[in-house]
Parts: sequence; structure tokens; C-alpha cells
Amino acid sequence: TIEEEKYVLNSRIVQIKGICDTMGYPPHVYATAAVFFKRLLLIHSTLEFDLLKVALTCIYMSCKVEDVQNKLCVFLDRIERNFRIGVKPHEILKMELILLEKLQFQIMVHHPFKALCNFIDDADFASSLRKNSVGDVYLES
Amino acid sequence: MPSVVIHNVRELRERYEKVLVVGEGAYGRVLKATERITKEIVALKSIPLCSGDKEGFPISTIREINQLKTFNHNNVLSLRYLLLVSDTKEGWATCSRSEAYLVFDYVPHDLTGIISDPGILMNEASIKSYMQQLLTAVVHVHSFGSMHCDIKSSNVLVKYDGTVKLADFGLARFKNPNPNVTYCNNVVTRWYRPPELLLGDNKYNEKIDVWAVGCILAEFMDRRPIYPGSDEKDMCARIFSMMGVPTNSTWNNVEGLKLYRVMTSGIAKGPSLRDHFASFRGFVVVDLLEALLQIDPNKRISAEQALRHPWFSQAPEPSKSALKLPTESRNESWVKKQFAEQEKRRMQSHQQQMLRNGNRKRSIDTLNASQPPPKKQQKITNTVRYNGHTITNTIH
Repeated sequence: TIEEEKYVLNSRIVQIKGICDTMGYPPHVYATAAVFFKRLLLIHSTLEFDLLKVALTCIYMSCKVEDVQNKLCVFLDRIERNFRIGVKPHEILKMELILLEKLQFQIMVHHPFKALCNFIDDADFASSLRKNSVGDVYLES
Repeated sequence: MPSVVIHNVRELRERYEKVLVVGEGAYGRVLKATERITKEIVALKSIPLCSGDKEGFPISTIREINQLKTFNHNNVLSLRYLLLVSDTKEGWATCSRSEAYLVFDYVPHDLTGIISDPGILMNEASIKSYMQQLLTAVVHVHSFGSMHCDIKSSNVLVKYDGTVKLADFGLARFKNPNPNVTYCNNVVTRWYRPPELLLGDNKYNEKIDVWAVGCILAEFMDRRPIYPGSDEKDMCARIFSMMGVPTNSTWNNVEGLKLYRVMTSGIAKGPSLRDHFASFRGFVVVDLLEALLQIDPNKRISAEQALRHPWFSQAPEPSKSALKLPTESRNESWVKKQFAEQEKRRMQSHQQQMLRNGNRKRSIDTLNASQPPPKKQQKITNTVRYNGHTITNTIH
């Protein structure tokens, strides 16, 4: 049912997050991987693919898109050591092409982080300005 | 932009009629082909997906696709389709002959061809127009926080009507907002590589593109590349002998760059940029050139400022159609063919001369041996030149 699918999906996304955190990737890698994963499963049922492989492929591709250095064999080695999941490289490569095809190469993901980070920076800057000016005003009065 | 998946090579052949191979590089091949249904001529850039390094879909192609999808500008070559071709029916076999194709509009000329064709007479209005269009494209690219990283005359394509299209974003990348991020130093074809890259800087910015644009402008004026260095050291020697060796007082912290000591030793002072272009004395264009080819990237003008330079508003007005372009394509591979033919002719005449010399007495030969024939000298410079065109960057 839909509820069950939703549950499966969410648990997989939590798993993606867990993997990304253990591997020490920056947060946008996780975010992009999650978006890829959701996009693929928007058009496909959860029963069509081996979701674990899909999840790993999403992470691997997201590293590529987000410019994080990552060698496939090293990546799989670490996965195997940390999670006891053995996946062969060629399975990932095969899945990668399917993923690219299904996503129609829409692999540019715009996250709100960037804007938010910039906004916080600006706000920090502005508030420091304001603090100073408020302080000045306070002193003057 | 749609992507089309084709499951075998036969389908690809049914869709496109291959005309000829236009170019070849580190990434793969570029084919010229006709689309059978619409009869349009397209350029197919093929990317083999079974490369030996087992990293799957190449990251440089992912970057290129991302870049191309971001831009939407008349002077940037736009991506039409993406094709994925696999030769097995049931799906993607990893080590089959799978290929991805990027489909672009076919653009016949490029600036290398136009500049090296002695049959095309340049005029200021057209040069101005080409430069203006190139700069607007660069401004557009930079406005997205991206760098092209491989601007050179053979990547600037020109349509029959004189519209400039900036192409090949295979090395382009988005700038990271974090100023401490380092980039790969090994970008930009050697002749168009700016001094900061030659000195080993890896925290460069979009000004590297501006330098390359400056090199193209100089190439227009001279009708040959301005710094055709045979290697990195030679490039530095050529640049610094013209501009003077930079020091910390002329360029902040230049002496801290990795290769500063190696690259700046033993450089003789040569003619300055203004002396080099003495025939253009008093022209405003030399001002622009000087601003573009400023060795300190912090003092180099941005593409936007360059576009506002008075040269562009001066008479003659920039005009796309001032130059009659030939119907045959004048591009990099044409230039290479010309060189190859020249080379062949030269070799033949050289051989004939050798034969004739061989009939003479030996003593004359030994006399001549101390002075190598000038033809040979010419040959060397030409091969260097040829090599410069074929350099393709290693992609990281």
C-alpha cells in the first residue's frame, strides 16, 4: 500500500543519511542523494529495484555531482567495513546508468542550504552592524 | 531538455546519418551528422562509458551537463539532447560499448580556422563584434559563479552569419563560495594559460578566462597566437619577458606561489606588449588588450568591465556580417589538415634537395652541415605550433 511504500522509502532515506554521516560527507551530499532517491521512486515502485543498491548509487552519484572526491572501490570498501554490505562495483555502475536515464539527466539539485547559509552570513553581518549602531545610539543618548 | 535513450547502435544509425569526424580529444570524438527526420545538421560529442578506470559515468561529463543546463544564452552553444546508447538489448552491461552522446547544433567555423585562413581578410568591425559576443558569453557564464577554464580560439565557434558560440564546457566548474577551496591547477590549454596557473596557484578565480580572452584578442591582431610556448617554462619566459617578472610589490604575494622560483629564473627582458603591437600604436584596442593581459589577476579587469571598454563604442561599430565567411568550414581540423599538407610538401621538397645535394661532392655537404638549412628551422616552429593545437587537458 501507499503507507507501506512511504514507510520503506523513509527508512531508506534515514539509512542514506546514516551512511553519509558515517562516511563524513558534507550535508549537501546527503541532500542530493536523498533527492535522487525520491525522484527515482516517484516514477517507480519500491519493488522494481534493489533499494539498497539504488541508495548506494544515489550517494555515489551525489558525490560526483557535488564535487566530493570519491573513488568507487574505496567507497565500497568503506561501506563493507562499516555496514557489512557487500556490493560489487559493476552493480553500482549499471545502476548508475539506469538512474541517470530515469532522472533524465536532471542532476542539478538546488538546495535551500546555500541561500540559507548566505542569509545567515548576511544576517550575522547585518546584526553586528546593527548592534554597533544600536550601541552607538545608546551611547549617544 | 529531453534526453533520449536508445538501446542499440542500429537505432542510432537510423536516427542520424554520420557525415564525418570533426574532432578528437581526450574525452572522445566529435561527429558531424544529419538528423534523418528533420534534416538538421548536428554535432555529436561521444563519450565512451566503458573507460578502464571503473568510475562509471565520467564526472567531467556530469559537470559539463550541469553547466550547459544552467546557461541559456545566444552566444553559448546549447545542448539539444542527450543520447544514451547501449548495444545490449536487456539493459546496461558495464563493459559493453555503451556510449553517451551530447547533441549540439553544428557550427561550421571556429576562430582558429578563421584566423589562420589567409583567404579571410579581417576587419575591425568584425573583430569587435566577435570579441563583444565572446565577452557577453563569458559574462553570462561568470554571472552564474562558474568558470569556463578552457577558453581558446578553437573553442569559440562561429556560425555562417557571424554569431559566436562558446563551446566545450568539459573543464568548466562552479566556483565554491568558500574562498579556501583549491581547484585543480592543470586546466586551460597551455597557450592560453594565465601566469597565476603557470606559477602553480590553485586558488584561482574566473579571471583566468579573461586572460584567455585577451590571448584571443591578441591572436586576432597578430593573426597568430601571442604566447605559443612549447612548455610551461617557455610560456613563463615568453610572458614575463614581455610584461616583466612580477614581484611582491607589483603582485601581492606572488613570490609565495609554488613554482615562483623555478619559473622566474633566467628571464631576459624582451619587447613590451606595446612594442610588440607597435603597428597598432595609438589605437584604443591596445589599452583593452593591456587590461585583459594584466599578469596580476587582481588587477586584471573583469569580463563585464571589458565589455564597457570605450573600444566597443568607438567607430567602426561592431558588425556581425562585416566578414564574409566561406561556405566550407574553417575549423581546427581544417587547420591541422593544412599543416599536414604543408608539412608533406615541405618534406618532399626537402627530400628532393637532399637528393640533389647527395649528387654533389661530399665536401660541400660538410660545409653546409654547419649551417642547418632554414627550411628545417621553419619545420620545427611549425610542429611546435601544431602540437599546441593538439594539446588536450587531462581532466580531473
